[in-house]
Amino acid sequence: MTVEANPLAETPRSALSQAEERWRLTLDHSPLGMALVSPAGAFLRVNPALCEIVGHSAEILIGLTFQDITHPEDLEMDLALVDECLLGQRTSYRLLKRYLHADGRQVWVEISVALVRDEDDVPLHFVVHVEDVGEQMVAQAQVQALVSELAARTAELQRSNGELEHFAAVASHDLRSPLSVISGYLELLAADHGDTLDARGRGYLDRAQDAAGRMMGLLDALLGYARLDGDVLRRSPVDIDLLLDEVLADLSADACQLAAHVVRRIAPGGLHADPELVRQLLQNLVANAVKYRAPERALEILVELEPSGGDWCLSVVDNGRGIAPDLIERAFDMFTRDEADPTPGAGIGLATCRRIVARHGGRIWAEPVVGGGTAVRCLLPGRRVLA
Amino acid sequence: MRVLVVDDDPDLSLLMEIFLTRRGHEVLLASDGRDGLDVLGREGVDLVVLDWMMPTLDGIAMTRAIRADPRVRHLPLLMVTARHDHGEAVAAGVDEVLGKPFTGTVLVATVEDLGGRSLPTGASA
Ligand SMILES: Nc1ncnc2c1ncn2[C@@H]1O[C@H](COP(=O)(O)OP(=O)(O)OP(=O)(O)O)[C@@H](O)[C@H]1O
Ligand SMILES: [Mg+2]
Repeated sequence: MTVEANPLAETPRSALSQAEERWRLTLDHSPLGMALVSPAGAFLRVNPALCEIVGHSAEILIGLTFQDITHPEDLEMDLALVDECLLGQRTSYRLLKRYLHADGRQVWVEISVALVRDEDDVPLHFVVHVEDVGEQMVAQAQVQALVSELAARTAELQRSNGELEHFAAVASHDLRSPLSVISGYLELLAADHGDTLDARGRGYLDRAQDAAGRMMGLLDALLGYARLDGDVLRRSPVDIDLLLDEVLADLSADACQLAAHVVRRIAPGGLHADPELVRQLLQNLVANAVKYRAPERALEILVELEPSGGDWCLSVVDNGRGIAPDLIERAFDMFTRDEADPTPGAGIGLATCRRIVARHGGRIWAEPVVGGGTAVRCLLPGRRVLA
Repeated sequence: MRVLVVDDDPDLSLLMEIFLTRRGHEVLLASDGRDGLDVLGREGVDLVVLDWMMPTLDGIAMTRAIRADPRVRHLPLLMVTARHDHGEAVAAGVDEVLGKPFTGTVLVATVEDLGGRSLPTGASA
């Protein structure tokens, strides 16, 4: 119930007008905290909702000023606004501030304050509405936290992208140069002193030269992968037959002989993609088909391009040893290799393929072939006419 | 031929020097672009082999400086680099770009081919 301070409380109850009674009922049942506050800040009338918000009984609150229960950090701003009202510079204000609850915690509230003056323009009291916005503030704080976390992650991502590019530059220059020195001196050693070495010594030299060569291949593959992101896609009609000719010509001589067993089934109609990237894609897939062939049967490779809905399905199918079932999902991850397989490889080829296909907005996967072998299929979006 | 090799990596410079001197060429060394221009001001050379990424004055800046100087602008320039954007080097004025790593055989062949294009055969050995 509403408790009134002097002098209003002294008014005989019988003299309360009907309006006054309605005002009291309104105060008592309002879900908003409400108060009449003297120009100096003393609570003159308070309602139960306000008592609930600040944790004081009405009797105690009537003996306090709003200054007593306002968070010290928010008081100055509140007082300044009160002064502006009293000086006639404004008639009302709204403020987000903190009260100190009776139990010591802080309570976020939004207050609306209006100054009431009498006929002679003398300030009578403030009418104050108080809304507990604690939950809103918590929600807002959570949103704020999420927003800043998102910003932090974006910055982190940009940084790591930048680092990747930086890494590519470092790998390109700072690793290649010493490697040139290593392979250069190995070349000199073999040319000038090869004769004076015994068979074991020449064996060591061969191994070192071999490893330097592999390291260069690895660097090239890593760089190729890192660069995939930077370059813009240059889409144009792709001639798979032509690209395949190039890829087969680039394979070493004996691989080329093996690749003579390539069957093509290329649907006409024009795949629209980045030819250089598709060449890289074919290069990796054909190289894998050759590298992981089954020793007990003659290699056969089918390269197929067929329309699939509005899209294109590009497949490289072999009759090789097949990808181990536990590897078939992960094979497209970076550095994934069959540990039991001694065939040399870096495990970058299929990761590069996935990146190339993803850059075209497509999808790549591997399927086992009945009777032994692997089919790697890429679904590449067809040319969309943009309205 | 008298070849100026400009590279900030002493190991690689020495390597190029060995490859070229084994074939009877005379090699002068400089450790960066500025040093290289100094040598060019003092010594007559037939060809310049230069790295791209170098401190103080890089290979591109050195190329522009050479192409702007009437006394040396005719010199054949061979850039050796680990970078892939060879087009930029060509645009700056180098005659040929050799990617790192290169084999000694290729380096010598490229230098002799480039030198032979602008020199009467056997002009200087
Ligand atoms: N056509 C295939 N048949 C059988 N196994 C395959 C085939 N293609 C890929 N694999 C398996 O998947 C692994 C990953 O292939 P990926 O091309 O990514 O790497 P890699 O060939 O080992 O090395 P590189 O980076 O040189 O291509 C291979 O090591 C191999 O075990
Ligand atoms: Mg591979």
